[in-house]
Amino acid sequence: MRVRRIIQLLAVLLAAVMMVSCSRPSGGSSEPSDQGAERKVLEVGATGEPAGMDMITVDGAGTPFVLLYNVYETLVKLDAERNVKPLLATEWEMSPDRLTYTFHLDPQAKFADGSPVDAAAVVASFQRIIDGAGTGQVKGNFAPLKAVRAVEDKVVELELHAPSNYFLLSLTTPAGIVVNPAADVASLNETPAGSGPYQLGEWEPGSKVSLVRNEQYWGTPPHYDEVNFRYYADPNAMNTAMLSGQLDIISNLTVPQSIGQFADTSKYTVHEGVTDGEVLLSFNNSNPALAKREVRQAIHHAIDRQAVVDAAWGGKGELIGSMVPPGEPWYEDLSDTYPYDPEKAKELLAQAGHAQGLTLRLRVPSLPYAPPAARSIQSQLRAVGIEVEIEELDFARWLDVVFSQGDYDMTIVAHVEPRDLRMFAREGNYLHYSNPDFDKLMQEADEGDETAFVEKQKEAARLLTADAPVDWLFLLPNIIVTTPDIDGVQADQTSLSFDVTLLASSR
Amino acid sequence: MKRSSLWAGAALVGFVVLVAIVGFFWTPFSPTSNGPTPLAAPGWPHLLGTDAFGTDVLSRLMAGAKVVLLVGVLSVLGAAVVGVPLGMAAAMLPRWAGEIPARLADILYGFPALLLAILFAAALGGSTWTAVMAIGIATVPAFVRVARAATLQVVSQPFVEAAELAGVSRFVIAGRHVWPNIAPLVWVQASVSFGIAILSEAGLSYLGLGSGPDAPTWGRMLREAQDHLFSTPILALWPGLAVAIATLGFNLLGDGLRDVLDPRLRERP
Repeated sequence: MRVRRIIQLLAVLLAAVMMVSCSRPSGGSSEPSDQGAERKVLEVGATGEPAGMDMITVDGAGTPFVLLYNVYETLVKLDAERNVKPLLATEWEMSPDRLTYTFHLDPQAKFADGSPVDAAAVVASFQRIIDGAGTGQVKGNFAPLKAVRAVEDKVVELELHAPSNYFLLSLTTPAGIVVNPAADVASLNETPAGSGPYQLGEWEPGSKVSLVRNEQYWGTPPHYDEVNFRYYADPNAMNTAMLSGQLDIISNLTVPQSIGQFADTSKYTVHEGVTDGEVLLSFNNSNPALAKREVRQAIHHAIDRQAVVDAAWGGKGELIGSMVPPGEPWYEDLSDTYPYDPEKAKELLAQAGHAQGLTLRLRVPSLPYAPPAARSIQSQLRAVGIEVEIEELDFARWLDVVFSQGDYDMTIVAHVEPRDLRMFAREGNYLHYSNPDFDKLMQEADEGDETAFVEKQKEAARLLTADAPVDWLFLLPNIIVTTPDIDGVQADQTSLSFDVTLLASSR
Repeated sequence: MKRSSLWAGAALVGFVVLVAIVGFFWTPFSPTSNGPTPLAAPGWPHLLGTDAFGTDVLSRLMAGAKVVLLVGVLSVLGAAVVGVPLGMAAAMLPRWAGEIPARLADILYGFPALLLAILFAAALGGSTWTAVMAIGIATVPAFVRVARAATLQVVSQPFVEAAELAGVSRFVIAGRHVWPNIAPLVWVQASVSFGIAILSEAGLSYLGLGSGPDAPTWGRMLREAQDHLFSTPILALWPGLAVAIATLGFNLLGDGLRDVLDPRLRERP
């Protein structure tokens, strides 16, 4: 009995040692090839699972990642260069007063059940949001929309409350999807009803979402017959699956430290692009200490952001210093606004009346980047006299406690929505931040002409950086790993969609 | 030869306790501050190297021993304080009443510590105390069972029956006659449970359900090492070794104590 236990314990010891020498599976990507039918199947590894299938009512980036552009289509879509391109609409005009858009739908376009995508379907989809359905983000995107009308069978007219430069972009987001009006709205969360090249196949919560080819698709048919999104709670397990040939694509490598595992270019192609995911150290601007701008600026000066990226994300990720990612027309490099300067930080803290120090709670979600970034920041802030208490919350609980209720002092999270500078103008944001000057600039940008759109947003971003309502830590990189035969990969994640319609294999 | 596991266990446990005590007062470097040389190989001045934050691994291990022992002591002590009286009651109460704590313990056996910890973490947020509670509650049934089985043997002895006939109250019987006879078995169980508690604590903080990212625990170190398994695999070795040594020590100690204290084993020639 005792001998057996000792043997068991020795086995544990041995396992600990073996874990270290992590054997790398040999053998290439030997896809289990289907005989006969020659079905082309793509296996995609991913980490953020959809919480539901109705993008209008379900929060989280997991749903549009799978469905947008693949299962659901929008009037216009965003391409890799952030340009708005035709999709269901072949062309569109704007009235001279910029209050009315007229869209001409593709006459070929039809839903997966064969019924045509007509103006009535667009009206039904958009009216649902005007009538008050949708998440905060969806409603925010469609806030400028006043009315939607069917002019002809294939012509639809959108009327706005005020001119909005953002609106055309909003149509490319989940808010702009066109849903088959024949489908029961209550069933959309299980069975999406779109017009895209794929339909939802099997959905096994916790492990995979399968997309199968829409045989009725009206446009260019996609290369793959079936696309399986496989979900991994542990990113290292996803790497192992890729190394053992179970996956064709890692849609986003969330352990950048492990990128060396895919160095063999004869087996893997690594695409390094950017996302719109700004990783923020968010402040609760209603906290008595953090309400003082000097304290927020002191924290900016106290953090060596490069050290944070090195420790938390393997040094991959650009320093941005503002809410605008490079690539946007209104991007300016503001990353030098608050150079790392602990002495300056102490001075600012003393000015704000916190010379004896300060204690703040840092409540982070258990996402790959947050706890390590928190640990690095805790040590840096301690050096200037700010004691940080870290608490790690499960993501669902974090969404509730921090994001919805706003009960926190500081948190760390990536904001992945494209063009989310306007989030700071949104009422009731979780930052408890409001700045009338900023709101005014953003409104002028949205309603002004194209020059104003760019210039006013530059000004707004500069104002925001000076006011420091959050600390912009770094921009999440988009690291995609594929087998070398796959092309059509979009390196930059510009929309919320993982667009599989453009992917093809030379194999 | 007979006591070799006792001495080996005591030596390993003594070593861990010594490291924890030293780590409480002094570590070579700060266990929570970033350092200038991340991912340094073992050498001088960082004997076991540094992690991705540049923090000294040896210092973190030493500081982590304190958390491990704290969680172990509190959860096992709590489980014993609740479980032993329940087990004694299960054996000494009339049959139908005694069944209640015994079956409750059986039901609790069905919940692994991990599941309890996930429930607590969802309700209260992950922390050292969540881990203590989850491990403690999951350990209670073991004490109930041991105490009940041992008490059943003791109460059937003539001296207990004599005390009962003499009108001595059940509480006095439990305290004066039963407890001294079952105590050795409880100590053995405590030592074995301690080993399991250390392993559970490491598992929980590895999953992010135990102590927060700022508390240097062995499980958390294993989790952080996982991201560097490809580039700096040695980071996973140290905390894994520490967990293995501590668990092995307490298990050997438990076995050794059983040999020495268990009256049934002692009576054998």
